Amino acid sequence: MKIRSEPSTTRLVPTDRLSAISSLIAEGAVFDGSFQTSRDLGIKVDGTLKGNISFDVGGTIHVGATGVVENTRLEADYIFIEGKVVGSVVARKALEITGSATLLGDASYDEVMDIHPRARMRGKIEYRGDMDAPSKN
Amino acid sequence: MGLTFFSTRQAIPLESLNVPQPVIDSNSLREAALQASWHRDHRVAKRRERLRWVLFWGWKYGRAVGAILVPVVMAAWLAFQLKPGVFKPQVATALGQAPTQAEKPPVGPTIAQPSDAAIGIRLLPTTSLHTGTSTPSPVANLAPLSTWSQPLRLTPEIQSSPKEFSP
Repeated sequence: MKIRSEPSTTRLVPTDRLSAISSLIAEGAVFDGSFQTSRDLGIKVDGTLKGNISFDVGGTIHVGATGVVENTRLEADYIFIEGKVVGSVVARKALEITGSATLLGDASYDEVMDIHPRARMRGKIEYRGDMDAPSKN
Repeated sequence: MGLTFFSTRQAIPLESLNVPQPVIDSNSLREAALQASWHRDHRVAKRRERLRWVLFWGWKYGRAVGAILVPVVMAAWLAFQLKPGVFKPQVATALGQAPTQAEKPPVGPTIAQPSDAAIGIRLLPTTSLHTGTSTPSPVANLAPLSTWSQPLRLTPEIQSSPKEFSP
């Protein structure tokens, strides 16, 4: 069986950021607590996480298709959601929600955001940047 | 008094402890775990997204398609049930109409009725009651009789002398 050697097709989150993820909560595992670091690292959640994930600087959060994050506040530069997230999400650079994702909660971002077709979301979306600033495009 | 320990364990040779064992590189392990995770993500995400698309299109157009298909299927079923020659006589009778030709009993093959003269000749006794001798029948070489039978009739000879034939 062929094993794919690249992460899911993303539009905003760079592939090298996903490939540099160093921490993994495996499928079937339940992590109860908060994850916090001041280094530019990454975490992928394939299991269940009950708690917050916070990166003071940089950071990449990838919630896999089998991942479930509950009662949480996710904060990082790049956030890529394929699974289910219940809570608030703060993306300082890019937020991407795929068609298999479910987000129940508010989402805020500073730069760019992408929601794929068939994504399920219930909550408020907030742009935290300067609304009067000219577009970079 | 000294303590004496008895052990049944085999002593581990020191040479085996000094053999360097291959250690998996942590970076390779991380990459392998990530690749397996991505592979699983692809599979699960695709399946879930397809299901969402199916539900979306089914909810959007499924009712309209069903509203069209159900009458068509019912009409086709009724047309098959009312197919001429299969169920039509029953329906016609139920509606009070005259039975059609197909309802009449089928007419079988006709049996040829032998003429009276041939019957009279056939039923004549071939044995004389007076002499007891047997004479060949004049109709012996005729074709075999059919399954149709005719009751015995009185011949002119019997009518003229009934006493000879009485027991």
